[in-house]
Amino acid sequence: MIVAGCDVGSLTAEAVILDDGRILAAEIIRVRPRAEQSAREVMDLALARTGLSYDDLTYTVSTGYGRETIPFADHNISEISCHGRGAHFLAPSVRTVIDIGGQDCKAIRVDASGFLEDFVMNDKCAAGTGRSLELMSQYLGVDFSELADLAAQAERTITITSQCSIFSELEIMHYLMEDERPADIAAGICEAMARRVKMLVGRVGVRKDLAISGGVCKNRGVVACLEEMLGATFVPFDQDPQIVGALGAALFAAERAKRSARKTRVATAAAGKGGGS
Amino acid sequence: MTQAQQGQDAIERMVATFNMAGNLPEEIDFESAPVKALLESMDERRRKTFLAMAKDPDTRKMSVVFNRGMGRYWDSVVKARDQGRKVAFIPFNFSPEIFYALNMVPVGVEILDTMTMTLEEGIHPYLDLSVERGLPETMCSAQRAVVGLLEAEAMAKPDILVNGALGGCDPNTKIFEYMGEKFDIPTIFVDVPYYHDRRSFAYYERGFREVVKILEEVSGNKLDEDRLREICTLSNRASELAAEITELKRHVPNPVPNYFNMNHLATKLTLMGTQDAVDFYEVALDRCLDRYHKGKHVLPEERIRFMFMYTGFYFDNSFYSWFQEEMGVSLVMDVLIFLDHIPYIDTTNVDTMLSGLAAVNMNLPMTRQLKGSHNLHGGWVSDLLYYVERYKADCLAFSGHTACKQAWGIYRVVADRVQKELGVPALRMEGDGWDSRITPMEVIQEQLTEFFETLNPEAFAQQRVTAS
Amino acid sequence: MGAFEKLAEVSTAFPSGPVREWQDQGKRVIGYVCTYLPEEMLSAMDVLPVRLGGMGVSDTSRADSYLSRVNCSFARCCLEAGLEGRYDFLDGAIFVNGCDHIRRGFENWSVQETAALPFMYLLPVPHRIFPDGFIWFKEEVGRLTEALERRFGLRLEEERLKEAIAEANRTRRLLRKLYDIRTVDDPPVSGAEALTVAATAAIMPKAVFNPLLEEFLKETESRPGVGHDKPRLFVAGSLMDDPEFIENVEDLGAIVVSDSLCIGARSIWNLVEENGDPFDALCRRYFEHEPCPRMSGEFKRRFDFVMDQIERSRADGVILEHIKFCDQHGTDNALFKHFLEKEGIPVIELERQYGPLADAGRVRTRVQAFLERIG
Repeated sequence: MIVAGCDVGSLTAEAVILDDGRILAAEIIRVRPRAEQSAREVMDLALARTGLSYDDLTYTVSTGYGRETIPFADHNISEISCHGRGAHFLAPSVRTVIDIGGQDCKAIRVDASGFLEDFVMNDKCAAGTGRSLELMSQYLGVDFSELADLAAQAERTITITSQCSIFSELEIMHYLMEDERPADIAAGICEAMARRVKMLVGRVGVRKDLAISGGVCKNRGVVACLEEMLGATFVPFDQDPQIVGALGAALFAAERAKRSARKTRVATAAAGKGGGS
Repeated sequence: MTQAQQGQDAIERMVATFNMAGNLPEEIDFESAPVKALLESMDERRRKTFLAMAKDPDTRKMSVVFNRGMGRYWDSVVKARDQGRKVAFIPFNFSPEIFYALNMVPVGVEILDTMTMTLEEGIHPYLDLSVERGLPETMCSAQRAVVGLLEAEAMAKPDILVNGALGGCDPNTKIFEYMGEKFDIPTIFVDVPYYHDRRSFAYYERGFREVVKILEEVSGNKLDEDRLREICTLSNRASELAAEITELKRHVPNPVPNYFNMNHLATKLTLMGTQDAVDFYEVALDRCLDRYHKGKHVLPEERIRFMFMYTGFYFDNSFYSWFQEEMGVSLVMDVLIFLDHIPYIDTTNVDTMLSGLAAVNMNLPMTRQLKGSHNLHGGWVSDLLYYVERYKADCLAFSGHTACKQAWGIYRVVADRVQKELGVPALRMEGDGWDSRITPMEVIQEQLTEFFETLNPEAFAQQRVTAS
Repeated sequence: MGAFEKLAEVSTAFPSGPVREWQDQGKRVIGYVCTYLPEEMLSAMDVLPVRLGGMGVSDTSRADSYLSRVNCSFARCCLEAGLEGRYDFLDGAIFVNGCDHIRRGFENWSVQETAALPFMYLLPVPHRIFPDGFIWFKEEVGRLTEALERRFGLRLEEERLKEAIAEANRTRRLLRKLYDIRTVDDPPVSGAEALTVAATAAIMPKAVFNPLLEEFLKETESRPGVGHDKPRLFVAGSLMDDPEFIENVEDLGAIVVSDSLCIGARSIWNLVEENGDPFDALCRRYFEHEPCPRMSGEFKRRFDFVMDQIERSRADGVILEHIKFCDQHGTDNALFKHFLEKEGIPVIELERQYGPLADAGRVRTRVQAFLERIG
């Protein structure tokens, strides 16, 4: 049975096509102005890769910020549940997923089957999200993507205490003027980020094994700090973690498809029994 | 937090810090190599605190006595269990004498919270841990670290919580119930009425007496009249001495060092009823009188007489010496040392003493000013007008502590009243009294400097030029 | 128009139709906040007590300059409404020192020379439920009564008070019936509808409300169920007088079957004793009713109430909401979460805003995830 999951976020959109638990295709694009456009485009790409069409899909679940506006979706499920599910599928020992996106940060706990147990989310404050990392890299004068490499050269970690981005700018400026090594400041930025995330994660209660996803997970500096603070190593994924949401959606799609297939069978059987022979 | 830190009780470590600080020599040569090396070895926070309390010889003398007294006090907290004394956590504005009279050890939650800053790991991990484990971040950092200490099991639980100042502010009121329920600690309450009249005093006193009965049961001691009298007499003596020192602040220029405020606050809230409090105030009065006679004041000269209209910033003690030694600013008052209206305790018999202690509590800071409307008798406005006038404040600042929703909710009206009736302006700031991460000290200093400049352009423009 | 529609219509205008009709008869209307205000004392003197809210306020810039960013949006909306003159039709306002936000809201409003109403009063309620506190409370209600009598040339009479109490008890019994109906497997009433009805009770004369609710209760007998196969939710937390939050939640495929909100169950559950001295009985009921988190030392009682409601209504999960900066409910909720989870009851904590700042989108995502979790 062929099913699909489509995740439309604020920055990127993903589509995953599954066939009996096998990933046939997984695509990622940057979002278009409208969620519907993004969904269609990424799904078209995924279908093209497999040579399938929309008609071949038994069931489609959408998720993410734009999930409610996808016309070809049969159902929508929160990105929180999908994320947890998808991560668990890729690494079945995982029980806690930390997702640090551009605009928000989530900590998701799942049970042994990958179903949502509890979650906590910050989408109001920039601290602890990719945005704050971007800003602080800017103040330091480096590109966001170079931050981790720079931090790796640190001799010590300079603690950045300010929580508000306005003041952290001042703090970083101050250290630069004091001729502190940019590498040490970079290490401080990573640590500050990790600290904020750790506080959020604490609220949901960490259970091993842990996994990390979202744009910020590519920053080894932050990841290493977090691992140290949480006393655990993140289980790696063998797929691009960005598809985790769409993957989870596809898994939910598979379940729902089986359920409605069962219902149809039952209904048909009942009709058969009740109706004329 | 290191393993070692987690192992050793947090309060024990605070005691160690005090004991070190209490052993400061009379004379210190700050230019000497060993002292320079010592300063170099300290982290910035410790260095600043050390300089604030030790650089000026008068301040140093006062600090030594203060630190010794506080060291003894915190030691009694650590040894309480061994000595068969029960420990009670109380709000900062619940006078300690009654606990001493029952051979209990009172711990002011806000005092303990402030003390967390002296730990090597500082206050931040505990502030954060309390939130991580569920407490809303909007609750006050003056109490959250104590919740963090309990969450981390970094100290023993108290035997009882006395929530003795209900209604001053929501966070202070709510935090005790939170601790009591979450950590399973017996909690008792004393309600504070809305008004400041005879009926209200009688109402509070009845509740206070009920609590005293419960404390007798908890401590296993009966209230002894002689012991209570001894303690109340010491308390009265300390109040007298403190009043004399405070009176000196009316002089222009103010001879009382800014750092005294800090010691005064801690002594008043923790040590009243003890000989250590009297000892501290005796030394402090001696020093302040000496300064008065010698015409000593803030440096280079007293340019501004300044007051926080509510609380100040407590996360950086160098604040006081920055005002004292560089800025020429006399920090004459903040709401936590609005103590002029606290009555003496009539020591005739147990009845009059309990009455007196209840009356003290009704007049302690925050309870007195905030239990009712800002414009009631004894409320924030009338007290502010009194203190601004009496201590000749030139200007005020509202520190804008983040969790202080009741203050934020009415400070504009209050500041406008003071401006209108006394012509004294107020600076609006935003920050956190205990969490340095919200508004850093540099920004606070910058804002204040700009404010002072508008009041005394020549003096402070010069200041800025020299600084850059 | 069905009875529910008639009730729902009442809350769409401020002042509502019934309030205007009341005033047309030359009678007084006084606004109040808080369940600790003994309404019957007012209605016995032919003064209509109307619960204040900030509905209709589209921005709070004026209120924000008195109260601040760190004050509750409910208090700010109420103050804004006061400053904008939306409450000018009222003869007065009675506040309670419920929390820091609302008491400062009152103070800011009452010092305004033009915007303050002719009668502004704050009823100080003790922060503990204990015998001496009851005496204080009763004295204060007495003072408030006298102040009203003096100001408006009224007189509180025992017989009229008994009638007012009987009428208000009737309201409570009827609303209780509504809550009972919600406990069935497939309730014919949604949570949003129930809150609308409960909120409307507080803004119109009970003599007009009661028959309408009776009519509605009858109508529910032939209404189809709206809760079939849906996850059943219980809601606790900060003041909520606008069903929009609950609509958002129910939109996602759940049904709210009970609550411990102040305008909801906590206003209904306790009756005034109808024997003996009515004034004493009135004060006792109001002082001792299901307590708000502002009452210290009553956590266990609040928790027991919540557990009872959850059992009664067979809720599958609990939503603990608090308005940002509300420390009373925010801290209480943190404790509820801690203890409810120990009982194995799924809980989600939500921070929200009241009025124009309410953020529906953020709530939806979280609630959806929660429903998926308990589904």
